[in-house]
Amino acid sequence: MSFPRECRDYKGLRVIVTQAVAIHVSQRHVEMMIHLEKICDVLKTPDLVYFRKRTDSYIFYKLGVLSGSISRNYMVVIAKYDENGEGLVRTTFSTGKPANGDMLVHMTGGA
Amino acid sequence: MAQDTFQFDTERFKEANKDYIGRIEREGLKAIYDATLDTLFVEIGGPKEALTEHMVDNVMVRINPDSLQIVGFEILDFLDDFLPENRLVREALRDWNLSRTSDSEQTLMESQYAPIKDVVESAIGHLSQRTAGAT
Repeated sequence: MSFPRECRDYKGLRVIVTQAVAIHVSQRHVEMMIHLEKICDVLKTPDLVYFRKRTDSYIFYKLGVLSGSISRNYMVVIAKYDENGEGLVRTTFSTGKPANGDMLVHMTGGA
Repeated sequence: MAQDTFQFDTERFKEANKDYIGRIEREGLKAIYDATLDTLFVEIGGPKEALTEHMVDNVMVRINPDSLQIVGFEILDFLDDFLPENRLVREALRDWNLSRTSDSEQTLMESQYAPIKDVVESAIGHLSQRTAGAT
């Protein structure tokens, strides 16, 4: 998978995955290396999207996309958007449940 | 959601992290600052596969899903948001010349970095309370 890569989120907004994020994942979230290709999928068809006011970030959650020892977890993608509505992925990781304290802004019917 | 997500046992989590000080002494504690992402990573030993659990605000805890040991932290918006709001950590890291223009690393084994090790203990308490209802 080559970077930077352009994705579209569930609203159709452009979100970029940079080379810096890919390097960050390869070095610090080694368990996510084989799942990098799924970032676009999480952004486009998330199960849940939360907004974290403190850091002005959107947190996308999707189940059923991970494999191996973390397969029963959400794949999470955190993105920030600029004033033109263009997003940048900050990081991606796996987690057991959505974070506390964030504002739910989107949920699919199955969630 | 129909699919069950991973839930970890509170008592097993506390037991797994009882000796976190000893583990830090054996494996070392290191901080890596990524200037491009403005993110601080704190690792016990080297990088490991882990789940990431949100603790509070910008702080996320990295947990080995098999052993339930805390293996590190990740703090987003570290210079822009976290450090200005956390005096103790700011004081502990005052000798580390962090800037948004360059990445850097720092071992955290000296006594001045004790507040960073205290974050591990806080995470154990915090996550133990959060997961108590899940067991």
